[in-house]
Amino acid sequence: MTVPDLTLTMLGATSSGKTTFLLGMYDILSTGLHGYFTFTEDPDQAVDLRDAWDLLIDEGELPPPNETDQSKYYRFVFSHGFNPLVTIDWMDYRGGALDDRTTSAADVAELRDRLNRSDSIYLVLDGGNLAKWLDDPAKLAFVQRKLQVRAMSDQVLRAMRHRQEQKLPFPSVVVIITKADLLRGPDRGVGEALAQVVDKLRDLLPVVWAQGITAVVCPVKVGNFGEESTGIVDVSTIDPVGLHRPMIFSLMHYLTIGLGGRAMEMDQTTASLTEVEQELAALNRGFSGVIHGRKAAQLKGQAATYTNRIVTQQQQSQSDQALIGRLSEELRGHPIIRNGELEPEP
Amino acid sequence: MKIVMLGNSGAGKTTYLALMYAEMNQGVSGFRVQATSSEQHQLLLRDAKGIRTGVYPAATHRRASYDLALSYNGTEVLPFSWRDHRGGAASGRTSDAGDVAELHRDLLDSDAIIMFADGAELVSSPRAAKAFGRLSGHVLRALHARGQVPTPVVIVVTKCDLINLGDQKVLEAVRAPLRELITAIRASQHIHGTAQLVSCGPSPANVITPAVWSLRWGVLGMRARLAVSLQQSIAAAQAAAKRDTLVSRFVAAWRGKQTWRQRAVLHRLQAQRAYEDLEALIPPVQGLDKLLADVTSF
Repeated sequence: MTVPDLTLTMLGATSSGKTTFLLGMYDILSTGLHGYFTFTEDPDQAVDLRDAWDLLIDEGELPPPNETDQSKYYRFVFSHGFNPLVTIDWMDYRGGALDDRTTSAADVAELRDRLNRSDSIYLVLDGGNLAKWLDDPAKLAFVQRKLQVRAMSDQVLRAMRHRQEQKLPFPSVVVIITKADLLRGPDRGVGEALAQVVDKLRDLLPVVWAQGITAVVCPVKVGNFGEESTGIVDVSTIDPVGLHRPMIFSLMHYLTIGLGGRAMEMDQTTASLTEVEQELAALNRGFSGVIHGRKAAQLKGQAATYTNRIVTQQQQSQSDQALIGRLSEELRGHPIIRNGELEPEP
Repeated sequence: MKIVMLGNSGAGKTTYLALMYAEMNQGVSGFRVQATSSEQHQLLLRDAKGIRTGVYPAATHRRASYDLALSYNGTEVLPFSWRDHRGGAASGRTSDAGDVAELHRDLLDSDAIIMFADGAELVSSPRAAKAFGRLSGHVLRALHARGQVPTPVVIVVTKCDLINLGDQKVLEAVRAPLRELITAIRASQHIHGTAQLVSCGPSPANVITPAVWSLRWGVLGMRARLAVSLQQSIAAAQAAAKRDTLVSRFVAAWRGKQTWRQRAVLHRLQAQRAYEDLEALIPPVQGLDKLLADVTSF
């Protein structure tokens, strides 16, 4: 079985917690969670991620913003036990790059090209800023600016247009709400706050409701750091939650799209088989089959090839469906938005 | 056969190797392990002697490779090499030290991997549990790169004499960090595993099982290869015999080449040798099965 290769791009404003999320996600999945594992293809990248994570859990040192730094690329393998599910080409785009004023033309072109190729796009929203919006809905425009929502939406819409022109499926979108603990307010718990965010997400991030987009909202947290989101945090408050789910959703969506493609392939193969069988039946009428023995044998061979192909496609499809079922278990309770509609809880 | 030990610094890899060697060198149920080099033999025995008096071998500073052989009732059954890497190699960058890349290469073409976890550390430090969990990445990466190659993986929990395994909380502290990996191995078709609790102090306990269990897979692999070789030789002998005609003999004689009859004889001889080698493996396989009858595998 070939392992699919997924291109994934993570966008978010400076200090939105992109890199911290990545470090936490890798730490959790590198030792295994619910049977799922992740490892970097390059062992040295694993050491880099581990060292940065250890700095956080030992010294409370959060990774510095990638403001002046380069965007970072990683190659991950995501597996269920020893069974590789997908290889992931991951790009952690430096936060400042979303701001046209600080971005070179080359950077803009690189990001566009990358998004055009992306199977999944992560839009990272800082929970602390979302809390300000929940506290005072009039601050919507201010919060949108802080989260760089317009820049992210423009990039996603541009990528969608490109993929539509190329007749490619749209990327999945994962709305990652980092620092989810900060959503808590004087009169609301985190759960309640999340429900409010999802309820009003159409105002904040309309692109997620675009026709053809499938998105999930994933609240994540690395710890209860309070407002101290930069610099040094209290290590005793480290408490990672939900960090593996974005990757689960990306894979689930990718496989779901694949199922549609596979169904079409199966229909085509079945049609070809029917055609060959009809030709064979016509040939076998009367003495024709005896006269055209070689042709009949040829058609029989073709029919057998098509039959085998259908069996393989069915097996692959069943295996993918089973995997999608397992993956969806991990996302239970997470709001999924498809074609502008919030999907009802199963 | 190549056996690779994988563990963090201080997990007890070198200590384990010395004690295992000393015990297996004495002979266990007809099986014996002997180093090819007398220098390595002396070194391992000296280390083992020291451990029994409470003097532990110094930390390994670079990769050591031991050429050993397993024999049964005096007959050599399986030559194997045993790789002991510096603990830090499991957590270093390939750009920092040459032995880090060597460890990754060794894991890639290993025939058995023995992972080490310091039991006492697992109980007392959550960081140790995490550090062991991170070793999974090395195993997953290596086994992913080489595809569906059958590989035995042993998880050895060392220093069990320093912890109270009768205490459920302690036992859970030891089990928890291993759980994800064990579940993954259990679900795999091509990875075989066992987890063993060992003590490598002055009174060693259960030190032979991890090695013998790994070697059994080596012997079974050899048996499978011999069986294939036997079938191939038989098929080749039959094919050659079929092509043996009076005309083909004249043609071969004219060209100064082997006749098909001669080739058939050669293949039959090869088949005979493979069969004899295969027969010779039956007693050691039975002996290993008996020795490991009580060992739980997954």
